[in-house]
Amino acid sequence: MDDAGLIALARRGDAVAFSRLFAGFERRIFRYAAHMCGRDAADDVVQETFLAVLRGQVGYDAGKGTVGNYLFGIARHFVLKRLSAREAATFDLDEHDERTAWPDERPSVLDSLSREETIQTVRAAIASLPAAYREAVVLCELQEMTYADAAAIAHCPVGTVRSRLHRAKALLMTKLSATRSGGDLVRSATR
Amino acid sequence: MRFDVENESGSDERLTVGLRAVAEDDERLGASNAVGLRLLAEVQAIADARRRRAMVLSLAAAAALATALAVPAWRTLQSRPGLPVAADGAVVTRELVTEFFPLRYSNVPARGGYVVRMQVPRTALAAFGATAPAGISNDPNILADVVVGDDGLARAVRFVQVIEEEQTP
Repeated sequence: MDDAGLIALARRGDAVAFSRLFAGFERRIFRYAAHMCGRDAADDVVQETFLAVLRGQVGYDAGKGTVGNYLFGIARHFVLKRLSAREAATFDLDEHDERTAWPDERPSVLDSLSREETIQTVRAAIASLPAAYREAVVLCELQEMTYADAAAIAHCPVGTVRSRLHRAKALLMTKLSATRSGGDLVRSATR
Repeated sequence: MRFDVENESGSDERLTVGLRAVAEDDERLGASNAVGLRLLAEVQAIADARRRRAMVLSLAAAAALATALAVPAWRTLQSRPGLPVAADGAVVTRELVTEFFPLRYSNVPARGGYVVRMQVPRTALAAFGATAPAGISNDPNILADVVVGDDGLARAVRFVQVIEEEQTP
């Protein structure tokens, strides 16, 4: 039974089919939502995403992409509803095709951190990115999606995803440069 | 534990390692059990609603079938005077009927029909291709229920004898 079949059965009240579908995608959608709008809201995003599937609010069309892209597309809709207007506006940054300078080779705070500290610092740096860049990092780097899949989910050209990711990495490296301490970064990200 | 990036060259590699560490750490994250339970309850509600719909459809089909059978029967009853009726407890009228006998056109399909009660001379029974069975009175006239199709062709006939009995207290 493929994922599309599971959706069809779940919509007819098949608990086993739904459980398999949920188990296959729940964690990935939760992580995406947690990075985009916080862990507190991630549970709600997962719930709203699968409720929309069960209630047939958004039909699945195999011709438009995989079930994974379909679910992420729904989740993204609920994520965007939770972003502030200022954050949501960052998705329009691509209009300004400014060149992002790649930071000079400098010592990074990562050089001197334990694994736990590194995770905390990088996580905070990701959270401090503009939403559009954060999404590119989450989808392409953390979820290891192809540019094509990320572009399908974000409803933008592949080139846009590529440039967002490039800028996001440059921003992350700047944030992680040794000129600032990890604690400063964490504090600034949570403001 | 030191995060080992000694063998990586350049900040890009260090960032990649840091992102990998976050991705690995993310592996433990997932929606709470409450979300799964809430969604399973929704699935159960969908299943229950579908079962209810199926039951309603079955009942509707059964009702339609019952109506299709009952209406012709009701019409038949309406066209049959003299059903057994208790007359103030004094006299009870009942009918003695035979089974239906097929007539010449009994095999001709009909969409509908009706039953006509008529009095026929006993000698006319032969015209229907039937004879009165034993138990029917020997009166020169006899009551008959004739099943007539919507095309006017008689399909079957049965013979009726009305019996009046005094009701004992």
